[in-house]
Amino acid sequence: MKILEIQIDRFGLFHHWQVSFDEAAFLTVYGPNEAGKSTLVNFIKCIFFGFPRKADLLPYLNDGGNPHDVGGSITLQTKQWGKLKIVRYYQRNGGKATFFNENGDVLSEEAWYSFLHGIDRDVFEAVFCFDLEGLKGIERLKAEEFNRFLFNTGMVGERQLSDLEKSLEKQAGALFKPGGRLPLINQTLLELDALQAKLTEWKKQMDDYLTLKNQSEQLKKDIESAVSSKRDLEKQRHVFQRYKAAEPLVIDIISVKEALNQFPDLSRFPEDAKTRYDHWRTQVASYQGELDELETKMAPIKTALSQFGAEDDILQVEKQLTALQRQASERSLWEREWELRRERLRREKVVLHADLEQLGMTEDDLETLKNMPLDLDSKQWLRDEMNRWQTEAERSRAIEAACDTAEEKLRALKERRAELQNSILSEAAFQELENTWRKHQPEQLAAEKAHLEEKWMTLKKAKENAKWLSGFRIAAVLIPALFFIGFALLTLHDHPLWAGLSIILGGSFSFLVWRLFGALRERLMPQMDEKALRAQLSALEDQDAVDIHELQSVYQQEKDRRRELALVEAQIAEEEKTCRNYIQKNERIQLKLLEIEAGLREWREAIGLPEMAIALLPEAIQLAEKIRSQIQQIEELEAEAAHFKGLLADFRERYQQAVSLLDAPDLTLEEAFARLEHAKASREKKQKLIEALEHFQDHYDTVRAKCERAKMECQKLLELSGAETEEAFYRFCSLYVQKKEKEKQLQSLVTQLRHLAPRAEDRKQYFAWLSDGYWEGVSDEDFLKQLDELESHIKHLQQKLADAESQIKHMEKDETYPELLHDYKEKQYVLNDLAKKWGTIRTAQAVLNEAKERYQATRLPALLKRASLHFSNITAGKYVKLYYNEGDGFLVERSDGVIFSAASLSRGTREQLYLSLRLSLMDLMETDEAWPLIVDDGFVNFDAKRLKQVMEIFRQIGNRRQILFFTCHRHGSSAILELTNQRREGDRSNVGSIISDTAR
Amino acid sequence: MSVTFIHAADLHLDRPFLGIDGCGETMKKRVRESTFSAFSRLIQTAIARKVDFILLAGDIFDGETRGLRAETQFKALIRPLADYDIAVYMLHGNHDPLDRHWSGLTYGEHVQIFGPSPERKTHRLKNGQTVNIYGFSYGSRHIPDNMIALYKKEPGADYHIAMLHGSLKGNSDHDVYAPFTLSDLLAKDMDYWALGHIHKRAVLNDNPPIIYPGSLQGLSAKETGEKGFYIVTLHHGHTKTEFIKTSGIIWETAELDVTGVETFDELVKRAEQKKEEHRKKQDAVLLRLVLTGEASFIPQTDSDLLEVLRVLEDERENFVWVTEIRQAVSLPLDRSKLASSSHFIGDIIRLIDQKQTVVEDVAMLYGHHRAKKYLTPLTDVDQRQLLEEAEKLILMGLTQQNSPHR
Repeated sequence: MKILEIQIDRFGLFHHWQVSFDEAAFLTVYGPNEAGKSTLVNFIKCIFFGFPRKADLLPYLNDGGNPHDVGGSITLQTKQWGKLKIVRYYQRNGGKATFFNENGDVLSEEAWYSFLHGIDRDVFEAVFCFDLEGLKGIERLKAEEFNRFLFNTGMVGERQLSDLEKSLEKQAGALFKPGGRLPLINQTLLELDALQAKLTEWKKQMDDYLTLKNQSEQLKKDIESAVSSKRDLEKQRHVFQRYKAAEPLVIDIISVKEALNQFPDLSRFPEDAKTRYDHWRTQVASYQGELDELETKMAPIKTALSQFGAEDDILQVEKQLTALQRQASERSLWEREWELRRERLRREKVVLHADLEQLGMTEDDLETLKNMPLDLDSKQWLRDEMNRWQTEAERSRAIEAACDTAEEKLRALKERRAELQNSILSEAAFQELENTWRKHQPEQLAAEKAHLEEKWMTLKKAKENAKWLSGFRIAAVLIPALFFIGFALLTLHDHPLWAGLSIILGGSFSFLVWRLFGALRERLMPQMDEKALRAQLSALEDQDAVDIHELQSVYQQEKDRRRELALVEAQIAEEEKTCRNYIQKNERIQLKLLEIEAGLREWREAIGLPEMAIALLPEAIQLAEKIRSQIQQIEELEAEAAHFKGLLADFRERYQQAVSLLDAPDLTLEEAFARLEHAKASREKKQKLIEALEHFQDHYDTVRAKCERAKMECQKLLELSGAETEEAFYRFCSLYVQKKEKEKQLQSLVTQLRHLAPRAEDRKQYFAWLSDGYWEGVSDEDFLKQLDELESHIKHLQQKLADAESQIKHMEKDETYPELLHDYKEKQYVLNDLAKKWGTIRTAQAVLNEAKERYQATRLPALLKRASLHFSNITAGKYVKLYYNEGDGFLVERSDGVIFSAASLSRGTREQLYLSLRLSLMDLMETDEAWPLIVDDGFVNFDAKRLKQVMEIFRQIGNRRQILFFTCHRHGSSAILELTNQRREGDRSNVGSIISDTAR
Repeated sequence: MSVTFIHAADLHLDRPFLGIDGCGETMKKRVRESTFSAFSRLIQTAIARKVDFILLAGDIFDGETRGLRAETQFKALIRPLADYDIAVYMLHGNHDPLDRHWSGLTYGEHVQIFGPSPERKTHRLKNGQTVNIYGFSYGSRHIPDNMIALYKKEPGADYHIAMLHGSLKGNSDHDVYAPFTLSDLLAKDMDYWALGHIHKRAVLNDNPPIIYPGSLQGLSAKETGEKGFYIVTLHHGHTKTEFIKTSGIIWETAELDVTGVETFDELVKRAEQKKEEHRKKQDAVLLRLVLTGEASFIPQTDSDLLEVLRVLEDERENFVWVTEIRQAVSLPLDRSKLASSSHFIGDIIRLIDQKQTVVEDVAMLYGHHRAKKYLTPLTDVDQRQLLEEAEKLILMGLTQQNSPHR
């Protein structure tokens, strides 16, 4: 496979640049630094394998040009397809290439990839591209590194494998070293160990937690037990103390009970007998004194009563006189009221009389007025009827006024009509005027003139046609006539018959044609007289001279008058109609008014009002109502006056009746009243004395009864106590009191004991304990001592419990352990994460090693074989063979059979060895198509001899594959073909010189 | 009349949160206390909503790191419920089986704990109605038997609610946790099945409801999204369930497409944008960032990016803490083509495809006498992942991906 042509639209420094390589296999591309050699190499890679990521492409895009044009084509010579053109642009077709064979057919991309046999950009770069990088620092590599370098070169071509191995080793080392401390994993392990240690310690503490919990539980039980013992002891002490408090009482009770047994039987002796006896005795003495005192008080009252005589007989009519005395003040009031009513009655009657007169009625009609139906319905009906009556009357008046106006207007119109009728022309005269006016209308005149002129033109045209027709008529007759005559003359000699017939036929034909044209002319000519037409036209022109304005004025005036007359006639008819309507309407209203008035009159008569004008009816009703109200008031006043008059008469009658009983007819009212007052005072005084005497007497009787009862009670007590005398009674009383005191003392003791020991069994127990001597020798101090001992024991236990609880609480609240757990778990997670990262690197290293081992076993022998040949060639047979083993690495055999370690070779030989391995790798990667080899100043440090040898190798290689040698040095060696600067056609770039092997 | 209760499970109180290494003390404290905070929210809701009782269906404590703090705080948190006459019915799960209940703490008379065999407890509602609650606690960590047969519905109550900490039969990893089938549960004719054990919220059946409320607080990067409990109202044949969120810290996973990213700054910008997309108004977020797409630029380590993304998050109430960055990017290489190449890279890919285990390769660390006690042995999945990561490393190195010289 060879590159034949490179065409660049735009790529870095190259714009619209094209170069064709001839058939030469070894091409040197010369250019100084920055001339575009690397750009060109990159362009080739891009076209072959596609554009890389944008960042890598940036150096070739940043030229300010259109990125759409970045790309171009490469034409190859291949075994498979002959000429193959690969076209690829960065931003066209998604960066995909188009492949054209030499027939111009497009090949599929798959075919191209199949053609590549797995060689991609990376493999191509690694195997088929040499550059300076591969040799950088080769001289400084240590033996082991150099061996590895060479090994990797043989494997992958470039030094990436070595770099990768170094990088992996470094990364792995940074993460973990079995004996290290600094790598991350080692550090994490240390941290985890520390955490683990702390956790172990804490876990132990957590175990203590359970012990503490158990301890705590046991202590709680112990405390509970001690507290219970203490409580029992306290209870016992309490019982003891209570007994001790009750003991004296128990002893006293026993003593009192014994004393009580010494008394005689006083069971029937009444309760409180002495007190009661003394009480009754005191009562008897007191009552006796009181009776004596009452008798002293009653004696003078009895004496005073005996001195009163018989009472005054005026007291017999006390009730009547007292009633009259109460009404005496009202009597004068009644007299004033009666006078007042009488005066008002007189005034009301005068007013009533006047109102009756106004209504046209007398006092005889009062009953009629009282019964007059003046309820609300009647009044409403009257109001409605009156409203109707007034409305209709007003309407009637309005219509009459309108009717008057219309008649006035009608009269004026009729006068105007008479005027107009006198001023207008007769119908015949007006008809004539109108005809004259019409004729003199300019439009009429113009139309008539146009009509006449048209007729004139028609006539003129007809005459011209007739003239032309006459000519044609003559021609139409003459030409056939001449033909027939000619024919007749020609045939006259030979065929006279024919000539004759021809003459006849010709004559007939000419006659017929003449007649035919004559008829046609007649038809075409209009039947009009030219002279008459001319006269009419001239008459019309003459009429223009007449005074049209005057005629117009007269005609217009006449017409206006006639129009006005017609209008007036219409108005008269309209007004007459209006008048008639008014009259009819008014008549209807009048009828209605009469109807309402009849109704009202009928109603007036029905209610009993005298004859009056309809309009006065509402007023009359109001007056009637007023009179009715006056009548009612008069009646009320009369009733009131009668009432007061009756009262006065009654008063006088009752006084007379009272006085008649006293048998003192001359007694005045005031004297009677004075005498009554005196009699009443005397009676009251006597009554008071009687009441006082009765009161004392009652009291006297009561006290005497009480005194008797007290005496009886004293006797009863003596009998009950069994004492015959008062002395014996008092002795019994003394014994009874003594016994009661003892019983009271016993009761008090028992109560005290009950207070101290409410429960009966306790009290019973106390008596038993006293008789048994149960608590003998026991003291409160004993109890106190035992209690103190228990108390201190409990306190001790509680302290222990508090300590345990505190520790438990502390442990429960302590965040250290859970936080440690979290830290531990998190750190463990970190360790696992780091371990996986380390595992990835280790796996990568292992994979690489394994791959290398496999390579060593399978591919290395073939590679060494080929490399030996290349190395021998490059070193001009100085070295003949290459070896490799695990222990020594690469070894070289000199032509004299001496074997050296490759690491001991000089820099130049090292480079040669490197080249040999690269070339052999290339051989191994070879496919059917020999890929071009791109060398980028790869042998810059080779001396002339070595370079010559290398070039020789390339030349040999060049037999099989194209070599593109990019250099910035002009090598003077004859091994390099002499090249010349030559700017290629189409080169518009500003890049350096492109030198091609054109001389070959 | 109806009965209203709270159904929660898998509190895992005081469970350590992994992946928060490197955060500040305030944030660490908040994260570490998040299980308690979530439970506290449940208690507040119970009081505010005046529920009749609370059902806690196991794993109240996280067995592995169970400390006194979990139990004492649990006790302190549920104590106020007694004042409001709200009972708690709880059972112990595989994480906090009865045999590990060593502290001897008791929680008060309002807390009813089920014993190791299915039993019935009766709750009397204020209106006089009764609710039979059935359940059992794990006696030990594993219960391989189907316990449903031992659940006996006892007549005489207005409602029947069963509690169970277990998993559906069929998942071999979980078949040691009281496995059951849906038909087992339905056959018991309960009004409600309050399940626990599965941390992801799930409704296995609508009528009667068979519900996993999920964990109360997301406990690891796998437990993404909002977590909480259900408030359930049963009203003779009708059930109303309402999910209440309690998790104040939410685990989330975000995929960050890095296709087209070519510089570290671009990567940071895109990652920051993604981070902000996940920021909540009040809740905090623990975010796992997965880089996807075709990578043009892959940072050598994730530590730099993590450091940038974590700046100032410590100080925010609604922080978004990126716990880890996972690379699931694909290199811009055609692996299958490379695999068929005769080049050494082809050898590498073929070798990785053939390689079954990496145990020997990593034995230096995983077999290390000090390290192995802290390390979780690598599973097959882990080993495959290591191989894939290793391949990526090699390809990046050998193909000069990400090389500044490229």
